[in-house]
Amino acid sequence: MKGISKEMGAISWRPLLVIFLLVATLGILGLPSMETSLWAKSSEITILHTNNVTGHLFGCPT
Amino acid sequence: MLGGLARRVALVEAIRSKEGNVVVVDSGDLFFDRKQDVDKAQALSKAEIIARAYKKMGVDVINVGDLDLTLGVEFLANKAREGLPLISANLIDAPSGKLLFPPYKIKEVGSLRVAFVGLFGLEVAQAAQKATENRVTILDPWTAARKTLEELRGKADLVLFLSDMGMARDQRLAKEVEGIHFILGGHDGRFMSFAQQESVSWLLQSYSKGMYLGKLKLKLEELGQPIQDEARVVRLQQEISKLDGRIDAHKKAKERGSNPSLDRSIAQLEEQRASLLKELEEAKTKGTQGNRFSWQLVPLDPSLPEDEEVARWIREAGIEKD
Repeated sequence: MKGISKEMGAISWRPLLVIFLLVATLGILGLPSMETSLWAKSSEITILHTNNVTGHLFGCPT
Repeated sequence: MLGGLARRVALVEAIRSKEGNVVVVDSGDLFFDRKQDVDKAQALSKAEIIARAYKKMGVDVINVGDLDLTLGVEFLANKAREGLPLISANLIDAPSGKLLFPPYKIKEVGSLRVAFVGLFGLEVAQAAQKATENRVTILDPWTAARKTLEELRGKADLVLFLSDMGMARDQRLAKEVEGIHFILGGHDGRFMSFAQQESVSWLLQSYSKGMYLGKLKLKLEELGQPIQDEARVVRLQQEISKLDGRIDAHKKAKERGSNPSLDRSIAQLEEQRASLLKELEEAKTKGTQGNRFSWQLVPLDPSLPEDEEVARWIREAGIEKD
């Protein structure tokens, strides 16, 4: 009985280990892509803009 | 006196030091003005200083405008080789038939992928061809915009166009091409205190001659939802105030008995006012939630400090006025 139970234990843990490693790998790979594809958390961006500077180096009278 | 390159560089660097996730962009007509045939050497000298200054302030994207081709393609091609981030989705190198610069640039900002697409005005194609001795051709901007958006599918969370086509064409672009969040425009150099909405896109310009710096602040929470203008409340309040003035004037005219049809006009104006009030209440509730933006034209007034290094470059070049 002792020998049989050891053998059964070995057989049942191997697939579980494979599934665990698969889930862990997918989880690690999946996280960054989720972060970039969804606005999961509030994002703040400041865009500073100019147009029609037309070569001006100095101030202009308003 | 408003403006000044050295002041602009100092202001951008000050904002960068205080705020995270800052992106600096230009919509075109940056390097040259229309009077360059007077003194080409000085024009080139000024353009070199502007290129160095924009590089120093860490510019992220520059769209090519028609005036940027005033002295031909070589100046811009050299600047691109030196690392200046020039883009244009419809400016073609005529001999090879290929785009002269990348059509867009994607910036990763925090957790977002922000795409900037550049467009050149079709109506200035002839002037551009003349200035470059037929070295360039211009693609139809609407076709180029649709093609570029197709390329960007799945690659960007937010799409901004940098346009040197002018307001009327930007409005048409927003109406006819889906998928643009903002059009940061130029060419006609308008002073815009408020963003203008066209279809689902927001249109903005930052006046001209570098007198102001446009500051667009985005707070984004949910993908795919509309982006609201935080200034909508102020704008609606201004519209209601104007209507109040008109209603008062009509009522005074009615008291003087000048026109019997005034009752109908007053009723119509009061109906408009009630509708705007309802909109205002909604805006007040929504204003602080969801995706939103604020827009400010920051004046570069003389009280602001100058970047000493850029001021020195200008002094050393012997340029005293524009």
